[in-house]
Amino acid sequence: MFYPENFHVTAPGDLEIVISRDFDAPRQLVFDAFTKPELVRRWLLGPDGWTMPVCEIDLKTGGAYRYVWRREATGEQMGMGGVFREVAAPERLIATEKFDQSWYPGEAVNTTGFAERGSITGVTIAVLYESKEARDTARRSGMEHGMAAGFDRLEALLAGRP
Amino acid sequence: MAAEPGEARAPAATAARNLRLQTGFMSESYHAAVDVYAPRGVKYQMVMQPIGYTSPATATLDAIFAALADPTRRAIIARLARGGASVGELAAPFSMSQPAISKHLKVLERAGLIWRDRDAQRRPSRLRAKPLAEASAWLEEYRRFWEASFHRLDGLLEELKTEEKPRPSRRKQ
Repeated sequence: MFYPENFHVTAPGDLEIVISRDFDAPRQLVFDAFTKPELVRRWLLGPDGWTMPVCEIDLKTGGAYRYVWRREATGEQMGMGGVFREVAAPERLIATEKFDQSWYPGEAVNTTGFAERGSITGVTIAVLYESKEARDTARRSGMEHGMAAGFDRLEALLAGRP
Repeated sequence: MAAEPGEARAPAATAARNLRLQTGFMSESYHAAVDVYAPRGVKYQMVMQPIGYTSPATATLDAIFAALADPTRRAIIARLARGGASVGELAAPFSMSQPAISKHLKVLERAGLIWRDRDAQRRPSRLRAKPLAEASAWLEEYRRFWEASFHRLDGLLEELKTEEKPRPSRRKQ
């Protein structure tokens, strides 16, 4: 069994979030898993309880993609999509991305790199906000979108309360 | 929030201690700032936002991440997680002058990461738990979404590999 050690989520700059992870699979396979709808909808789901009823990917420069997630317990839905700016299979994808609940102005740009290291494929996802304003707006409204409850719990934990 | 000055004082020390107890899930190369404050095993009850635009609670995260970008300041935070310390106490292990340490403390204070206890004689610096928790929660939610997804992807890739089909068809551009 392969247990990847290096899963990183960092905020290296003012406008960027970078996520990286190694996978024990050939690059082409990993690239496919990121770009073929029938594969993407099987894993890009976040925590348990969500499905992906819509997953459309027109994999070419200028092509659009669209994802819709659904929380089965509540029926709550959430969609996002964008346009590919660059498709360099199987090395790199650059795409805009924007959530339907556009609580921030402008789009973010997602650059996903696939690096081959022997039998391992290293994936790096960098999400770059268009502007500081976009990111800050996203941040502020993030709070309103349901983090308050989480913070309450966290604060209780930090304060040593049950 | 219990760790704010002007409110209860004792819980601040508890919070700092608990912060320290909860750290340590990351690998060497993990963002060092996270390594100082990321909570481990905290269960958030948040609305999931795939890919992660939920975020931060305040517009001060810039200042927080900028403050934590410096290794000395991260070390100071790590030290303060063990309890409040005066400028002199902080300067000693770093072999830095007190004015140099004071400069770092000002940056941390401006970012809201620490506060100076002006009532106590030594004016010890103390951690503020809330901004750390917010910065941490922000990254933590990205981490949580992707970790769950990637774990699922591992399984899918194993399955695809064992299918031992001929190489997947080349995709159209």
